[in-house]
Amino acid sequence: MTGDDGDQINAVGRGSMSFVSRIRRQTDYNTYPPSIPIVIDNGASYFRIGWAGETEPRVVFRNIVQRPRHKATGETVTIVGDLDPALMKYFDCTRSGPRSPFDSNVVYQFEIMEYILDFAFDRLGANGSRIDHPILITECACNPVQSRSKMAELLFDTYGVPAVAFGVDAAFSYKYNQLHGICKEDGIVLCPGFTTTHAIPFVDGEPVYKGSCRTNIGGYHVTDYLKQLLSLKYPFHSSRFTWEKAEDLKLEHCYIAPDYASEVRLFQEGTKEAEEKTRYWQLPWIPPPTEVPPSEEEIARKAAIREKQGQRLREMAEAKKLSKINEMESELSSLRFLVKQLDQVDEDDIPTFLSDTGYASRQELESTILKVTQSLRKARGEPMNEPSEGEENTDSLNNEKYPLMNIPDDMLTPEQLKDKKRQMFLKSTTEGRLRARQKRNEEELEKERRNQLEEERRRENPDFYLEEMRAQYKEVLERVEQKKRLKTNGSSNGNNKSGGVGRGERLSAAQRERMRLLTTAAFDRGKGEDTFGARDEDWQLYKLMSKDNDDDDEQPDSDEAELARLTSRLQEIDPTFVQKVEGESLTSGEVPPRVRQLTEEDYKIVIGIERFRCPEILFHPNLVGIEQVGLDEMAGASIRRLPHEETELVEERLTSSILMTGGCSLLPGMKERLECGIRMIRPCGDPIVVVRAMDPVLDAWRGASAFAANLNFLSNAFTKMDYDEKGEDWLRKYQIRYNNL
Amino acid sequence: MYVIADLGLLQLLIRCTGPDRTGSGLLVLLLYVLISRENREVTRDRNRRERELMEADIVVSSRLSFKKMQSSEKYPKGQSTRRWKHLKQILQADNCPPDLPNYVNIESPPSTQPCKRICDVTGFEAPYADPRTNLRYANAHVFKTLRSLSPDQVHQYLSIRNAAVVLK
Repeated sequence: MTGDDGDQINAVGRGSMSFVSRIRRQTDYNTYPPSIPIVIDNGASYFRIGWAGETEPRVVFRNIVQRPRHKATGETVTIVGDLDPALMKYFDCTRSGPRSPFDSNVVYQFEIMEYILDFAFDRLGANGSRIDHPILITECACNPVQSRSKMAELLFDTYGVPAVAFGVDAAFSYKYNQLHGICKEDGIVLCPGFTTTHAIPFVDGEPVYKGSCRTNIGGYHVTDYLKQLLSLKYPFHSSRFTWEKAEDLKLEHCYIAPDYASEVRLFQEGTKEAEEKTRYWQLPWIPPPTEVPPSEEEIARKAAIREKQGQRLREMAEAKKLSKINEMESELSSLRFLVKQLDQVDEDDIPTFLSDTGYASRQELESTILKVTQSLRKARGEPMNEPSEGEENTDSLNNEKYPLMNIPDDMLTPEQLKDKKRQMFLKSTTEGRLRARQKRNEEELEKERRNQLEEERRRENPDFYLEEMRAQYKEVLERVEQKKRLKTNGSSNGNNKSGGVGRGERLSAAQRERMRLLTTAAFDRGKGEDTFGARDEDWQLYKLMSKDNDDDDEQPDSDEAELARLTSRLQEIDPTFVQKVEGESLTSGEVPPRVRQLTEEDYKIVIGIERFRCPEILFHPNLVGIEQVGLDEMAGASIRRLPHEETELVEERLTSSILMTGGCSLLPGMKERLECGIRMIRPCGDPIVVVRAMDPVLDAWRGASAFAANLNFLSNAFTKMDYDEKGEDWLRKYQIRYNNL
Repeated sequence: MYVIADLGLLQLLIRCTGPDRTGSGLLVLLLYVLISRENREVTRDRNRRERELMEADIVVSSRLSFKKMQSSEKYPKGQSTRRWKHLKQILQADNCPPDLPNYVNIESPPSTQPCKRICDVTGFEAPYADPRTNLRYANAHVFKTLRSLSPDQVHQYLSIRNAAVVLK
């Protein structure tokens, strides 16, 4: 949206105009004499540039660059700052994401920095043959000398700047607020920024970098955390949660809880306060056209159709069974006929007689007859008499085949001993087989008994039993389906946040752990020999791995067996049961379809706990895996690091003037939380005063501007000649003196 | 596309204005007029859009007067831009005296307070952890949802906490 004076306003946040982008080209560049310095606040989030001595920077924009291709002409153009999405349709942005010159809070990509400076100076109205004003530019605390020197080179060589000065943004903010009486000469500045957080103590008006500390967490991480949490909670809408949207949500809704544990308990217990604190975001949603519920006739008709289908299926099964029985009977009768014919033929003519039919001898014929009779009996459902016959056979076999068993060893010859061993072996195997058969019989009896019990139950109360079965079937089916879905479910929702190589994602956590163990054990450190098995403890590795194996594979089998049993049972007894084919929905009776319709509720994003869970990482960076102190403990760490002479007095003075500055300190509730936190780590009774800077976002630029407007500014800056002569070591030690403010 | 359609129609028109086809000829003439009108509209649109883009003036022009050397000359097209050292490399190459404060010196120490354990899914206090996936959970209800997560989601939850096993 555009304001009335043509500025592109992207105003967000609680009424403060701090995050406005202003990029209108200024026209009064030539009214400023070359002695007036240009002041630049080069931050990881926003870039602000203006004239010294003023209170507002002239040009403000987001510190990113995009280089898309213009669709019409095909050339690559450079676009700096936030983009108007309406104009983006002219460009092909597939290969150009937004790039920042920063890596953490240090400038490392000077090509991008150059594009940004080009744009900035251009919008400031520069039109000479060089930038003829001294420049004050901000950097991070203890900037590595390489970055500093490259920046100086860029300014001197490409833009022809006469003099350059570097300063720390947090320090400028502190001095500015000190000028206005918000904080005192000795104190600590806490600056949660975009990618890092600093705590810098001030003694006698100068920052003491020896006592400063920096944690690598900032507003960027808070936004990222919020984005990831929301994407995981609502995977269906994950494409909606862009980084910019998450940032907007953070600015609108996030706050810092005075005590995380008690706040969370409110939500856990579902109290009314928790309800009030929850915010809802309703995504646009069009309800699907409501289907007219089928009338009575429809329902009756459909039920009749289904019944008929079931009946037809059963009839087909019956018919098949009958035809099979008939076939077998006819085969049996033909075989028996054959046997009878054989009886009439002489012994010697048997082979020739049988050669037509395809059976080699009488025995084969008889064994075939036996087999067919058995299968016929099975098809008809008669109980099998085979086991008992088998038993008799083995008994007789026992007595026949093992004559040598009962004779003691010493009375036998060696050959007979061998025979005896063979017989013992045969006996034990047949006994084993007998035992197995007995066990099988017992199991069958058990099953029979169970079936009879179930039949009784069914007869007692047929409907109830049916319901029970159906419910059980549904449950087991769901479980099996879910497992299948888990196994084959890849990144179906387009989650592109997953790290790691493709193979690593498809494995479960347990499998990945096993692979990690294997790879660490197998890793050849290049020292020569592989000493894996030398110690006994190494082999414990396999124990660790195999235990997990057993856990996973047991369950699915039992579930699937259960499913098969239930399916068969239901097919027998339930007249309306049609087995669920994979992929289709269940159609037994009036059960509602498996996939429930998406309701309005599904399109409502609930932001409750995330409101204060995300900024919590500023105080506990180990929530996102960064092993460093949080904001409140940083003040303590910084005080501890100070080289101290008169310890106690200085410390008291430090804690009685703590300034919060930087974009993140706009979060409500930070002041109270900091006070509590710092009180916990300082000795009891210490005066603790925490104040917020007048304008946490712009104060750094304003402080720098006030510093540059000072008459002694040039004594703090260095020229190209200085830079060339004095070299890198001098640049390393270069610091401005802030006390001129 | 429209130009080609125009030519085609023109040919058709010429052929149609023969002896017996005046009716279809008129139809073709009408079509021709309509299409050419549309053509003009399209070009007008395109011009308007280009003007809009130019007025927005978001592009950095490639020649700026105050620069001694233009960026197109400094970074010729096609050269790899990967020659910038990342922060890690800068810090390694930086040989600074250890007694002075420098970028590495002023890093914060790890926390001395006990680590706060919150549930990965809901954010409540989480005294328990799932042995199979190593995720933290608050109560049995959350545990049920944990077990039904896909390996992808598990990996993502763990990587938020920087606790995922990354296979290289």
